[in-house]
Amino acid sequence: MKKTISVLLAAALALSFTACGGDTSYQTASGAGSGEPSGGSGSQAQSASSSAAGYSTTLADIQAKGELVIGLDDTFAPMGFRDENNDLVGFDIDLATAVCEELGVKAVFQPIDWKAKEMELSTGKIDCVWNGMSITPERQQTMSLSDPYLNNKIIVMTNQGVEIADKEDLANYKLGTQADSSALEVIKADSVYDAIKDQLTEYDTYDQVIMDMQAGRLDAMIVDEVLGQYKNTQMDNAFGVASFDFGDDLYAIGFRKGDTELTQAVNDAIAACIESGKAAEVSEKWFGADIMVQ
Amino acid sequence: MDLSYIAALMPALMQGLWQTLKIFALTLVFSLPLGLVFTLGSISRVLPLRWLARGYIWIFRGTPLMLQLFFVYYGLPFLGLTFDRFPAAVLTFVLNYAAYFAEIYRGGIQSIDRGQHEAAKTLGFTPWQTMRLIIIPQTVSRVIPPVCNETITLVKDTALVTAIGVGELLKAAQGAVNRDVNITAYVVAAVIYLAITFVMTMVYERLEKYFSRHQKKEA
Repeated sequence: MKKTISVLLAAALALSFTACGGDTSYQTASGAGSGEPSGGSGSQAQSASSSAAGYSTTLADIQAKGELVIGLDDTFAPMGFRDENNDLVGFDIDLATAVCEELGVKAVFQPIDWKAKEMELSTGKIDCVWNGMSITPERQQTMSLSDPYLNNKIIVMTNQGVEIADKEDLANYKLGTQADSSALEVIKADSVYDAIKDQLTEYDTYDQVIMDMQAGRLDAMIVDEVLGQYKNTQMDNAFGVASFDFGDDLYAIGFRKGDTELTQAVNDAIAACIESGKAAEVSEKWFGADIMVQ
Repeated sequence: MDLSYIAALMPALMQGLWQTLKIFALTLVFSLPLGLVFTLGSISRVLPLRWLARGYIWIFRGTPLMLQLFFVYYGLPFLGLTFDRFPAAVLTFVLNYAAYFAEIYRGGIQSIDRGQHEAAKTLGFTPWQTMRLIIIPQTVSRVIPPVCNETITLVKDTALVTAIGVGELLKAAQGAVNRDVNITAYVVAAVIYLAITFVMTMVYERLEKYFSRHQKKEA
């Protein structure tokens, strides 16, 4: 019974960890400079899982089993999603396939629930999270992140007839963004946050934000450029883009905290794909331009 | 609404529907009988058995199904029990629904007049014979409406399995909405869910008529 309780507690901790992604604890952690999280629930879930299961994976392990299991949200266009034949396609799918070729292994794509990605990693169900995942201070604490591979930034997309002059002007409009998103973290870290927080609604997904824009309840959405521009193209560019932005939002691949050797191997393989021009080809295909981080 | 667009959505939605139906059918096949085991346990005169069954029902009715999914899939590996996604989903649903069915059956069994137990006893029936030959046959028609209710809830609960990375109908619709920025797929999914529950309602109506045929004659 005691064991059951401790497992339940570990699960609850892991849950609370994923549920409060926008928690401010990482700011104190990074502010301390020591890289030691100051009692964030994330570190507890991490240690609970690593002591109980202790999964670790090296490049040799991956090559021995012949496959890299890549966790992704398969409803995240244009990075990874299903086409009309229900086949998995997207920028990250093509890039990961090229990188795995470079490593000499097969890319196995495992759809996961995005909110459970930390648990999927720590329980060894997947080898990495590779799905347009933005670098955040919190993820730097809990995962071993690859080098940034895609240039991206946080932008403000405006509804028809809405003109927003600058960041301070945002306080006069109804805003939406996705909960647990990099856009939300960036806004929270911005000095303008206190002024706009009462105007800002958090949604489960950006699809819901867009629906509320279309319903006319929202004036603007704060979103990363790659995703926002893709959606806008699907809607015949119904939304405008404000002239200011919230800065860079770089994508990286997340591995288990201890798997730094595997992380480095994938970094090298990406560099090789950039070298060979394969990465540029994939970027051109999905974004019409080479936006890889060189 | 564009018909050719709906046609283009169908392959993905049908694959999702197939997953939904598999989870639904497997859950029913295993949880309906398992529920009866817990019912008999919860009304047993053997106290440890009764506590075990009631404790089980308390736990599985008392915690969110979503949490149970997380626990079975992510938590049990810590105790050395590792299931794949799909079996983990089905197992959780079976355990959860068995608890609800157990309470529905208990309601049915205890709605039969005490006097019948006494009458059976005077005729020399053992308690088990009484249960099997007299009580349970009469409860079937009484429990069908609440079981039908629970079954319809099950159809919709299957959407929760995406929490552990299993695909199903609603997830397939979400994927299409995400890809095309068009909510048609949600409407189509709703129609499919309605069609399933319509069929279920029909089936249970037939079953109810069939199992209450003797009562009708007496009336």
